[in-house]
Amino acid sequence: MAVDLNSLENKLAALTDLGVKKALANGAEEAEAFASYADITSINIKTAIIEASQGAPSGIGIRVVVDGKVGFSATSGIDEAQIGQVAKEAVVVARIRPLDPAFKHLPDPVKRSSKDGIIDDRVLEFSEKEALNEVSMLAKRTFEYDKRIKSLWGGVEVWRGTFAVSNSRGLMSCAKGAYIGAGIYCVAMKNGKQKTGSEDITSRKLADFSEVGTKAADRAVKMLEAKPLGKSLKTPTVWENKAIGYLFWNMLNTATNAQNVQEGKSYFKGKIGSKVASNIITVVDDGQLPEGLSTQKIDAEGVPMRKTMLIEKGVLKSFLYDSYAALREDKESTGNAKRPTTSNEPFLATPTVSTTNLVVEPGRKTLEGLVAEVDEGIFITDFVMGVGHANPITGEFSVVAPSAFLVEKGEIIHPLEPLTVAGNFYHALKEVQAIGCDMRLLEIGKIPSIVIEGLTVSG
Amino acid sequence: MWNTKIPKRGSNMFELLQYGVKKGEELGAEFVEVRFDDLSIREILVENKVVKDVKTLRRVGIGLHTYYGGATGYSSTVDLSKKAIAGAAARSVNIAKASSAMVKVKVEPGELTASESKGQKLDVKKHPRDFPLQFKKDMVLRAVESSEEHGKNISSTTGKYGEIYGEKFFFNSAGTEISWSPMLSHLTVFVVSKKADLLVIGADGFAGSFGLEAFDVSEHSPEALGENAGKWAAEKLEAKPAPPGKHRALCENRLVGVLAHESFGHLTEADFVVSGMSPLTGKLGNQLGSEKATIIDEGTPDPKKYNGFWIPFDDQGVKTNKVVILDQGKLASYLHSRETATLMKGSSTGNARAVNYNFPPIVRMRNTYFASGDLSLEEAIELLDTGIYAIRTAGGQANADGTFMFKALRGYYVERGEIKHPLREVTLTGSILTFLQNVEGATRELIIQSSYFGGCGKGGQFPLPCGLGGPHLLVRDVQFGGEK
Repeated sequence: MAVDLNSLENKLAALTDLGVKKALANGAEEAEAFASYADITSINIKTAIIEASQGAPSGIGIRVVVDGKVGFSATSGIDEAQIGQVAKEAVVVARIRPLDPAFKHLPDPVKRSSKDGIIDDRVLEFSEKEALNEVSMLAKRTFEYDKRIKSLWGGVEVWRGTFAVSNSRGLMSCAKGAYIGAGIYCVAMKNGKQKTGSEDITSRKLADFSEVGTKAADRAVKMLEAKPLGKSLKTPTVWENKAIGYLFWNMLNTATNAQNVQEGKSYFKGKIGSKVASNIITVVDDGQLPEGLSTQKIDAEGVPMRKTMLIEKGVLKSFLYDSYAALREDKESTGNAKRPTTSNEPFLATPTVSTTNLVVEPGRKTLEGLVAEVDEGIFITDFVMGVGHANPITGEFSVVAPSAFLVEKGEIIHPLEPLTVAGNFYHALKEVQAIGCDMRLLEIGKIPSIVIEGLTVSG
Repeated sequence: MWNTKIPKRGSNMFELLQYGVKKGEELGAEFVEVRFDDLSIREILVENKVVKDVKTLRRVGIGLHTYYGGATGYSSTVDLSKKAIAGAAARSVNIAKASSAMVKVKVEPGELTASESKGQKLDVKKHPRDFPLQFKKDMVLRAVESSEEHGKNISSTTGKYGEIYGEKFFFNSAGTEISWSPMLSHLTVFVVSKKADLLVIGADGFAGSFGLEAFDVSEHSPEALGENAGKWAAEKLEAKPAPPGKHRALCENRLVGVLAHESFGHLTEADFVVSGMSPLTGKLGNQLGSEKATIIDEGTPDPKKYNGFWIPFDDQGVKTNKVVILDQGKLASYLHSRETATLMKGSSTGNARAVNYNFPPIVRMRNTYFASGDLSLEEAIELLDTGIYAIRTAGGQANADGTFMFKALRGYYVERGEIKHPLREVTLTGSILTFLQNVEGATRELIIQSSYFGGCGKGGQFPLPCGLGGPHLLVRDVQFGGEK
């Protein structure tokens, strides 16, 4: 049975309208209501055990302004009595908050045409049975690839959802989306030595997942012959798109956030118009990329999403704004408000600034071509660990790469035991030597592989 | 679309859950578990004495877990009408049926005796539910002001209060009827002091399944917590970095608790074991650590003595056992849900937990701690002789292969049994199995503490409140300063 996002959208919009009215009736000067609904089917596999679940997290969050002070409250589920209760609590919360002189008002309606991303009917109609079949095939292909694959965790998730936002300044809008993703994380074993590999695809269009398992298995098996690097040195590093994506996002999401700039927490503060990266780097935040996984008609406070040039040929061009940060500077929001929560329950959080799809302009070389140009260096694949411990304000990071290879004279020599890769990301941005043509769609955007000089590797 | 009028509690709620069980069974499920969660969350964040954020959230919903032909299915709904529950039952059964066609190893619900336990709750004097946000905001401000009073060169302060409380109901095909009220309150203060380019942190907090009266005790009052945070940050301004290399170490209660949970406990979770991911797979009965190392995972450590997170039943309606996972160094048990227990021919240890109704229960820890020993703290410091006294944690990382890196919040250099000077940047690295082999002794006192901020995350389910702790452990050859 297909999920009918259009009718859900209309129902949510009506509920947010009611939320705004109830908040105003409870004494708010201004009010905003956000309601979301996500139908999620999730099939996980742990070697041979299948864990299958389906659910629809949904609820409403109300933001109010009382005597210039902002309050917020939220609840799962939606009925009229509960919406009234949430509106009342938001007013109570506002009363104990201090007056924030930086807060001007909720966003005004913005007239700018924008669209939701691609919605594929095959994803809307994808059944639990089909998801189970995919999972079973994923596991089968992973194990069949090599008999040294001993265990795996993985699964398929289908996400179909919508949200609506209304406020007392006349804004009322909705957005919707549908995605399907598949991933495998597996362990290969030989002589007591364990190595891991992973691969995943998330897509708006129904994708072919047949390579996911074999790719993950191949990554794991390749690492079984790993040898220690046995030294510490500064050397060029070739980062596969998948390996650098999250680090890249963690840093730029912080540095381009206008609120961080205003509060002195961004490395890019005062650097608009200055060189912050190598000439070959151009990065946009594209909330309208049709295939982008963060693309929506509107952001989390109802402002249309758009495309914003961040870094053009190495020069910093703009920061990203939600309405709070924008009104502080008498600017327009760039449509970058997001409600960050776990459990697919965005209604539980107030908006903050966040990137949508970070898109790095590709170069000409394939990944193999990038490696072939390195005289001596390290090739980092799959994923790195410890990105969450990096400091995105200063750019200092130290990550562990469990899947790296030694490169000499353009050739991959052998896999390496886990390596520590450390340095300063913002310095490294200026030392990017080459960019690949292999654009990869990730949750954080669309990123090619890149070559960086000047990082320290040890292992 | 929704009808979330919350039915009256008590017998009406059980009726509704029973209806879900009946619907699941009618559709062919061999066993059905239905649970209802109503959890409220309050959070106050104060930065530099300004109330930065206040959260008041509530999650109310129902989850249905069904078993069919060796497979399970799960579905949840926030709509509490009979119609919606019947719909969720149908989806849950459909998924279980579809899975059963593919499963290679069959899971079963296991032991099926019915039990009844309604309305279990802790006896507290000041239930957080009955106190307004203003009261809790004042607690945070008192703590922060005290930290400023006792600190030095403070560059920033952060005070946080968080609580979770509510009700959980459970009903299954065996006729088990359970309801209980979880509760957790947490107050914490974090101070950054600065001297030239040096930034140091001091922090203290107190959390547990208790009423707000716990913060009336002078030792745990907002003033005392603030004083400690301020004082400890100030002390670090004059501290030297810990000397890198291997040292004998005395590890404080909460630090060993984090090791017990993060580094060892996860490896004993049977879903990791049965899928072959855990390095402890097939090692039951093996001597992994020294005889002085015993680790326990328990649902209800005596709330009068300890400040764990109180969990009388897991989310599959199983009474939480006290499980000795490491018995005097020997791997004694894994942690089980109903499913993993049947796969490994054991019985559930009551470790199936879900962070909220959106998720099926999976194997999780409850209160994980090292058992206490026979030393007094003075004796332990004397036995430490020369080495590092490492206290609490300020974050870190544990890997699936048992390696870890943890930063102690503070520490002291001890020379010939005497505490000499404070340390900063006390980072412990190593492998948990080596660490366990090197445990030489444990002190008599036992501290268990839980946390609202920074619960456990697994399989997308975060933050799940847990408790952790232990005595002081005396450990030889601990690698310090492994961080770059």
